[in-house]
Amino acid sequence: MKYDGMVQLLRRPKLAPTALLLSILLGACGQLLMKHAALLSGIGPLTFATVAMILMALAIYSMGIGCWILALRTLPLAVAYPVTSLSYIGIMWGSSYCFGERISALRMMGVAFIFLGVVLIVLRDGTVTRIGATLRRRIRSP
Amino acid sequence: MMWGWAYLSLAILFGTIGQLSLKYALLRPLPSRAFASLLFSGPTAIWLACYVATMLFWLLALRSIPLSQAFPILGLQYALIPFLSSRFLAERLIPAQWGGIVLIIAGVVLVGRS
Repeated sequence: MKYDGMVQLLRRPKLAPTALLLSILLGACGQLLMKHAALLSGIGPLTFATVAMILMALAIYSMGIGCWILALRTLPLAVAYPVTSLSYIGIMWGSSYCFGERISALRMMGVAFIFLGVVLIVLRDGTVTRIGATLRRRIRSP
Repeated sequence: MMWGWAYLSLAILFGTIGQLSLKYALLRPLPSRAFASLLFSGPTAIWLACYVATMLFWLLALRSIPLSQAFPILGLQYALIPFLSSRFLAERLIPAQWGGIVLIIAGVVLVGRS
């Protein structure tokens, strides 16, 4: 499928949850690739392979941002944001699986604190709540 | 490792400045609807430069700091941006948001020490 067709497809309100999950998946993959690229660049001079890896990481990460914007066209932030906790889980799991990072209980507790804090900041914002209400009305009566 | 933390701090700092300057740029009436003039007008240009700087320092930070530690700490931006918007952009924070800021700072300290 052509790229344009893909974007048009993901613009459909029905596919907003798909766009959201894609954005999380692409975002987490982008971060893992950036770590991989950073490790490659750390062991020697900047080679073509390293630059290509950085560009690929940035491209995948940008596609994730694109999907996030498409998802937010339909879904209220109050619904979409808590789902991004999956990206924390994906990145923590990926860092341990791909790079052998050790994730202590203390680190997991800290991540939970940070995530809850962001949820409090994002969800209790009057503007965000108002935008969410408008969007919900629009979905009900298109 | 020492440099890694300096790079991570710079990534967070530039990310925060970038968001604040983008918001500041969009608060004022746009000089014209043309995309190029929006992109290269003062604060938007700062946002773009900050975005590039954030990415660069983020990659440098990842050279030495584990991703499972650096990524959650990047969330400190979510505490800094509302705090600074309340100071400089006259945005009001409600108590739950102050609670969120405190939680994030506590979480960052925990992840930093883990």
